[in-house]
Amino acid sequence: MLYIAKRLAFYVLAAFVAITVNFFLPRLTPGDPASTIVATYSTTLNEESLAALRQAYGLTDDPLFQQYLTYLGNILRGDFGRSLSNFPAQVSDIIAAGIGWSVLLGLTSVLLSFVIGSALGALAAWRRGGIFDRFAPPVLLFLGSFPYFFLALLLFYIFCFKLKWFPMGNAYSSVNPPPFTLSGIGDVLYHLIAPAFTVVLVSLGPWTLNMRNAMIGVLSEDYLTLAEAKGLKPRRVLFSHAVRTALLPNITALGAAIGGVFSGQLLTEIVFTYPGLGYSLMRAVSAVDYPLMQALFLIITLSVLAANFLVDTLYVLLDPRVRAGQGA
Amino acid sequence: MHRHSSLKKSPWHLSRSLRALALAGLAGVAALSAPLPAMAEVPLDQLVRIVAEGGNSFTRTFNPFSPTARWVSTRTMYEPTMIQNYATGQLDPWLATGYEWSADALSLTLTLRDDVKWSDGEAFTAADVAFTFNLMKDNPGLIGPAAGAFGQYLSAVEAVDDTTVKFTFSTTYTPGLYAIVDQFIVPEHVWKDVADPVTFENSEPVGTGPFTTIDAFGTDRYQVTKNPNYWQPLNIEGVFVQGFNGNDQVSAAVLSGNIDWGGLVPDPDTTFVALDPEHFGYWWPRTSVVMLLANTTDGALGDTTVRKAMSLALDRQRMINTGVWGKSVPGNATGLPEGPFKDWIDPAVVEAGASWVNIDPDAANKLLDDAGYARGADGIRVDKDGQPMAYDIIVPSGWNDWVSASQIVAENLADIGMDVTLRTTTADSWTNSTFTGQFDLSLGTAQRTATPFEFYRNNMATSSVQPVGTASPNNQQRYGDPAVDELLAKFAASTDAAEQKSIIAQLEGMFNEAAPAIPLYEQPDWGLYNTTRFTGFPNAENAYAPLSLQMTNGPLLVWPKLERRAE
Amino acid sequence: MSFYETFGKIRRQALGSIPVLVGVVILVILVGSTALARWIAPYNPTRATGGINEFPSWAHPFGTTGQGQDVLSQFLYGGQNTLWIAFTIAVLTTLLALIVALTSAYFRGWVDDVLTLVTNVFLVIPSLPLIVVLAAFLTPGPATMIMVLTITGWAFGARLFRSQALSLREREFIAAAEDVGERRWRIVAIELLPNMGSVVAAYFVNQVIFAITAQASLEFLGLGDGGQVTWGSMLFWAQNTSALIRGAWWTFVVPGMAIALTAFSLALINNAVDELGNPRLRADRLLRKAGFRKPSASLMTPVKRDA
Repeated sequence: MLYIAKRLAFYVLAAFVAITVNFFLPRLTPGDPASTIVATYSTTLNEESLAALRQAYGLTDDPLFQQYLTYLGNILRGDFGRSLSNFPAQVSDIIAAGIGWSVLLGLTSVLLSFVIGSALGALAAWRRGGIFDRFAPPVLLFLGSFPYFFLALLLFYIFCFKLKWFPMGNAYSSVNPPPFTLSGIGDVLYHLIAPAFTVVLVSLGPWTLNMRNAMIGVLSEDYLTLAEAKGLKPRRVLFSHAVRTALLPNITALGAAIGGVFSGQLLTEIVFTYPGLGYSLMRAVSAVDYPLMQALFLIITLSVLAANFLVDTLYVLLDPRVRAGQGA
Repeated sequence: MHRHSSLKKSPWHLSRSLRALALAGLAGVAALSAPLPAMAEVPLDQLVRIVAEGGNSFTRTFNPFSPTARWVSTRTMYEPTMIQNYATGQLDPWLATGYEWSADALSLTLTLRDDVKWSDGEAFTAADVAFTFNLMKDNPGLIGPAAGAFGQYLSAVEAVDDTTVKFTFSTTYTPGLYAIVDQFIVPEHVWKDVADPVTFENSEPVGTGPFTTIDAFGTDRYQVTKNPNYWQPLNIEGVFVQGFNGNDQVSAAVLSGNIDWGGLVPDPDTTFVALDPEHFGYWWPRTSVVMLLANTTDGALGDTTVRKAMSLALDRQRMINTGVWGKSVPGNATGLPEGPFKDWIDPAVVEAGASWVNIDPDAANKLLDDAGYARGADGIRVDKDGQPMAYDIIVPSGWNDWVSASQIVAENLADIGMDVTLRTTTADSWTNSTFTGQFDLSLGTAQRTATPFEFYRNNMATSSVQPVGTASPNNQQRYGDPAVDELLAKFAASTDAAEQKSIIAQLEGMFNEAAPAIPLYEQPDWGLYNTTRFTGFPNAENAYAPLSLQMTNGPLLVWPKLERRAE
Repeated sequence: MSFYETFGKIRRQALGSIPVLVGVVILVILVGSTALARWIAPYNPTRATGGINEFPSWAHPFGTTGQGQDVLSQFLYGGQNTLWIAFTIAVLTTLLALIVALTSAYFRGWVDDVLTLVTNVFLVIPSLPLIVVLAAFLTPGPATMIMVLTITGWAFGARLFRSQALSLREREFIAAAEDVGERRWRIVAIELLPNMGSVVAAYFVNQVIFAITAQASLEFLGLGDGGQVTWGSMLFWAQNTSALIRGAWWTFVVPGMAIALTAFSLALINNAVDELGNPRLRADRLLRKAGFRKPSASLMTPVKRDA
């Protein structure tokens, strides 16, 4: 329990750092971008309109520290202000509309690549030096060498545009969200395939290689030899001992992988016009939509922190050594 | 390219075996998947599918006064009193049937239609028009065509009777007509109770436009359907707006036949029309000119001779061929586009200006040699202060046609001894640099306007020059001539068309003399259509309205003309 | 195992292992040809030297772009820019990570606690959004690229090096040095650092991969300097001129494959470097016969920290 409390304290601190960096970053850049931002959106403005819009956008000339306190207060209340590039929409509405899809795509692809990768790795280790072990690792390494967006565009072009196997965008067919029925869920899954496949393809390599190496390590341990000598069937040895032990390092890595996959996924979402947060981030950046940009960064960071915390907790349940308080 | 007619198919158009294959990993689900019934009240095949707004983060906000208003709010929901039709050059009556100036040009009267109703059934009257203008006066944060009119020239707006509105001017300013009639009108009975109209989200809009009903709204697409009380007959049910994240995605949708109107595909003759010549079409009329802007606060760039020499070095035809697939013409020496302003352009100025807008690198080199800009040891010319003539040309990274034009500018100017480096930046950084005058070279274009008045004001008048560091969208090159201000004042005070025309001709001559900006080529207004499901789009043969979806109010002219093709 | 020994082993292994050989050959060809861009590139990479989107021909072996530039010349010059930027980022992040880790190991106590905390915070904050947000506020260009990716890219190395340093400290020879009263900076500089050779080398190679893909991703988002030719900006332009849709796949595939092949060859080489730090894998005779050496779990976590 102490371990979990310590981890929790760490994540709260990390969140606070992210929130603070998030606030000061745009404000430390030279110049006053505020009036330009306003001017960008309308070319027929007079001074009076400019001042009124600045106020509506929440751009003030208060001292920095006071702005910081206001900002902290607003965040605690869940008030992220209004988007500049989609005025007067609330930033929280934009994020609420997209985050579910990002989480769905992220979880699906992380879990799929974890399960498939670990399975492939175990297979490769079990049949060491076999055809599969010989060719799978370099092929996966090669696939993992592509930037996400490159593979995404290639798959989009081939499978969505040319072959028309998958839809060219959106998370479901209808305009309003689909009903929670089997056909509705099937529709959502169908739209999920192409983007999720892209992410899985790129991120499969490390899972496989790690699992394989961990397995090789475990398989050379004495107790397994002993188990085999005692007449246990190899298949049983593999599944009941080796896989479980070898899986541990992969589970540790799961937490870190979530952040990485989330990053690559944003670009994949953009390519497949998937309605997650990826496009919002790109648009916020290109339109210098501070409120949206800051809120997105914050939400993404907090989601990743939460996921990491979950993984930490899971790890405690799986590894008795940590439970005993030896983990750091 | 493989041709396909996927229009009537849902995204579930895989063959059975392919679908099974695709869903192999989700086998249990695949068996249960069936085409979904459309949730929307109006089926998708009844709606005109358009590419109008980028991205997939739509929110249900229809405040037309927002600087970043939802596309439909000013193109299908709220309407102006009259529409400047850039395809015909006419001022078309809309909610108003006509206007009249008083003899002293200090008051303007609009006569309104008496058969217009708001989408909630209430009558549209002159009180709504007066209310809209006064609302904007009280709330300077509301942005629209007439924003700022009160500070500049308008003093009062009042409803004389149900169909008559009177605008009283504080000073004679006849170009104000276009800003006033262009202003969209909101209903008094709804907006008078809005606490803060600037941040009002307006998720249930009430307007006079053809499509005001929101049946279905998703973050990456939405549909807007018929206003039951629209004042004109309509033959279509509504529009379906779909968001896309990038050029590839738009092109893919357009080429797949999933879009009825809008979008941009490169080289449309070969990539688009060839796919289905019977139904696919495009029309790219030109209503503005792309110009090379040189910051005149720089010593050498402030020299007219240098700017004219630069102009002579430029290969405009190559810019047109690479940037806009040959679909344009080089700009002329008046700076005005030929299409909309053909009646204003003085042929004599165009002819005289050929001496500096046609390509002639030898003449350019001679001009610079004679003016004393000698080449240094490295071949780069040196300005009067002894500095090498080395400049940056900045352009936003996503704007392909402009970037390729800038690239050609840099190459051409290298040939006359100027060292120009192309720098692409984010759109915002570019806006910041150009608005504040902190740049060497950049590209720019003029806003579309009813007369050339604004073009010369925004490019040559001292009134439009801001000091370097102060942001202003106009006169980024910071060139001002007091004589221009005088002529503009005379124009603004005049209601006589002939007099206005002669003033513009004088301004054209001054532009030709001073070259405050270097015209490159006319900017096409992108517009594509697909008549598989709907007919009646404007095109070169039937040029009743602009085809471009980005032009304000243009689509309002088109909606009543569209028809669903019989099955 | 000293630094020199490490590289001696790499050399010996490279000769004896097919994948490493493949990796080295690809890398030498890529680095060599791009380094010679000035002499072997047929055209100026930014100038239009042919028609628009021309199919590969004798005049333009890799075809031309949507703006008529020669793709081969762009590939060569672009590779030069991409690689030196990536190399610089890798050097800087490795140095920064080493400094943080060795400072931790040297001072221990609260300094170590604080640095570990900072490292963990940087590790846990997702990098791409941070990179994007950072890049958006700075003027695009190589300097920005290097700065942004260095700031966001060092943390994993710091953690790795610190744990390596801590485990080395437990070894007898360090303990012995401490016992005889050797000064701490000497222990760090003479005993610790050289013994971290293989880990540092493997990390460095990983960082080059990270920098290449992260750089390309940023440029793809339009956050690079589009006026400068790099593999990432080539992809940006290909996407921007709808190259795939128009059938001009060569403008897209060439830079994409260049990035992937570079990363792939480095990954192959990295496995060899990594193996030196993992005796168990090294000892695996079957594996050696199979010819492939994998990164150990300790080194290559499944974190795709780039995008």
